[in-house]
Amino acid sequence: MTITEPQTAGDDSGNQAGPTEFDLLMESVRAEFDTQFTWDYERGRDGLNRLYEKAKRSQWNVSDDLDWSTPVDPERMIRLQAEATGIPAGMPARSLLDVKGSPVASWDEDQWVEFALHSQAASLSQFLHGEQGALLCTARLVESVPWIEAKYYGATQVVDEARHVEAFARYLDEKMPTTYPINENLKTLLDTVLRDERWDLVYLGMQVVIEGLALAAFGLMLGTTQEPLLKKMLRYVMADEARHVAFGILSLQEIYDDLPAADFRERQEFAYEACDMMRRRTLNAELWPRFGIENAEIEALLPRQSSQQALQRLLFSKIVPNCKKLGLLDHRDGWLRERFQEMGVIQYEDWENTAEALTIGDAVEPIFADPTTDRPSPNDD
Amino acid sequence: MTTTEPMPGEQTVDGEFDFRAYANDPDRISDFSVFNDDVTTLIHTVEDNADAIFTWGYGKGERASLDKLYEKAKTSQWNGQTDLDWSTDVDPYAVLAPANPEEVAYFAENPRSPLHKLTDDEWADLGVESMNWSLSQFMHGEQGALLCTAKIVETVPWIDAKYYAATQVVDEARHVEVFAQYLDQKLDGIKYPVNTHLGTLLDDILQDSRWDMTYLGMQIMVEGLALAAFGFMHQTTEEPLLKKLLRYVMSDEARHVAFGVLTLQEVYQELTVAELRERQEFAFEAALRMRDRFMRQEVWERMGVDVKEMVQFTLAMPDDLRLFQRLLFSKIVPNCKKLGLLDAGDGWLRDRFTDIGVIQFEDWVDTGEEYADLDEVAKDREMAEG
Repeated sequence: MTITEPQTAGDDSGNQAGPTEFDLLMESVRAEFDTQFTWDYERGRDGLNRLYEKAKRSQWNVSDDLDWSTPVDPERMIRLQAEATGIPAGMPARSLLDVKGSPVASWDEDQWVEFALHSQAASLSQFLHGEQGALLCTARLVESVPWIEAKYYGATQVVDEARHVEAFARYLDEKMPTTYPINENLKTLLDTVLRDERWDLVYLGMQVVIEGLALAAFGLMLGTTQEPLLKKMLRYVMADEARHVAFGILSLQEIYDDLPAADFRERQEFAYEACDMMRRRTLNAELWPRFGIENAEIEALLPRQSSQQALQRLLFSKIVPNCKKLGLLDHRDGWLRERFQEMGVIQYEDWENTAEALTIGDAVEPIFADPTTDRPSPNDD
Repeated sequence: MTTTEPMPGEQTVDGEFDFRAYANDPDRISDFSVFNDDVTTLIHTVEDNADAIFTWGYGKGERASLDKLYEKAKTSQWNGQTDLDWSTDVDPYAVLAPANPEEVAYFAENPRSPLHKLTDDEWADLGVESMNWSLSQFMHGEQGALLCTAKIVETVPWIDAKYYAATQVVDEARHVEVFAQYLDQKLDGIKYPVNTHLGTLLDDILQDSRWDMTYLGMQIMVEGLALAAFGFMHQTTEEPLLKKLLRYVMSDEARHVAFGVLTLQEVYQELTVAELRERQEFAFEAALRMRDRFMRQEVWERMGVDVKEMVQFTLAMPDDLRLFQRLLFSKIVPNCKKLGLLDAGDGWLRDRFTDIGVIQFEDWVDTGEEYADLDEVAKDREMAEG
């Protein structure tokens, strides 16, 4: 197993803000893999063909399809959200108020609004960096997957991911107070996926784990924000993401069908370690130092913090059913099922599966069917 | 790239390497068995040696010309299934391969020509084979472009270039799709594996760890030649489906070459003379292989014509008949000039392009500027909206 620990000195929580490499504008990852040409141009994989045709018709344009003239007052956005959802600004971190000895015990409402705003910016920043990782990983897939249908579909995903980076970067730049650097755990996972020479692990790491997490996280934000531009942007991004996860499932099902047991176990371990790495991110780790509080102080309080854990668990609501669908959960005495039980996320195993949703019906249309929005017009004239 | 090693071949008396003799060495050109030694293999693997680059500078539009190209690409997408009329009936014998009448006469009427004794039926078959061969090579080349462009997305450090390159990845997938479908549905299938000269060039481009070499090899050389070849075929064929397919593919290709020109202009400003010389040698070797691939050796072999004789006879063709072969370079040469590659150092590449007789294109329009004029997709849509 090749997932290495992030190199942060003196903690085992896997995360620390502090000085980062954000000022260095470039970071390179040594990639060791093979590019594969296929001379078999026959399009025989129906599921992937349909996904490709679907993707062609579902393209949208960040510059035209979103109304960037929408004024966004960040503080008002946070207050409206709290009003509409009935959840006070700064939750779930705000529940630390009640914990004895909490460093935030004296915070007033304004501070929590400020904190919530930065929390939103930090989440959007991780979406942004994660999308760039997805852009690079998907380009890798186009190069290394040996099936023509997967190369075709993967190409549409490359342009989807570029669009997502563009959208999040623009939102952060024009509407939010700041952009946060990439989370160490996320970066470590992306590097691990990019470094692996086995192309099916790029699928598993990127399409199933990272995209699965993203889909759940976007859904959570979509469910709470009242800001119309952000709402529409997330809805459009999620429509694309649903295809991306389906791409992973459809491809991996075929590969896993005749994978030797030992190789299968490696995939289980990879899935577990990728999930574990993402789970061990401390929520808001980028934020606390900015508000004058050490992450260690917060982490000491976390085991008693059930609402934070509930939120973390919810992020796995897409990954677990997809792992089940792939047979990863119950293979070899259910090793991965046990791990997911320990993580407290096994209850999601029967949640709606992305691949089925997309190939049977159309997961994309209902998202666009919202009366307040128009589906981007297809360029099929 | 093989150009970093000493080139085998002829030395002149004063010890200077004779590039003209090297370029026209029929033994070198006809040795095409190396790449496709097993045509039954369905997967061809190339080691990728490049690092993936994350950039944390997300400022879109810092490079205004690339940003403009990205926005253009977003609105010029088309769909290989719905924008082309696949119900069109195609008679393979009526789909003419690009041919220059004087060139045909050279091969048909000269008693020393290996094609001298061909019957009318055989000439017709040759036309069909050549068309299938050309489109098969276009298709394989487009797959190479798909892989190279995915590599550029990973390796280029600028966000504007990553954005634009992403649109090109989906363009290239569409091109593979439409050429494969045309061959499959209209022309009796894909009959030719990738040509050795093209295949080894694609491998070299993919293996190189320097990201600007991917641009030079793919965006300037391979795509530049494709743009010219598509243009020639588009002018000569009367088949409406193929004509429209080529018109649409070309409007994408023009953006692709522009992407290469706009990017490399910036990169090359920072390079030393020695580094530029490496690029010049790479460009020349690529140009040679692109020219050599149009010798159509696989077609001669299939037609039962002696390949080496045919190569020799082709090389002996009078200069004024080489219309098609020359026109292939009508985009590459001005683009190399625009990049400063022709005259960098002591004008090494100018000398080489003079050696292979294509320098006269240097002042033709370069693709950094003409891509907007070539957007046929936009023109059709404007007309439809009337």
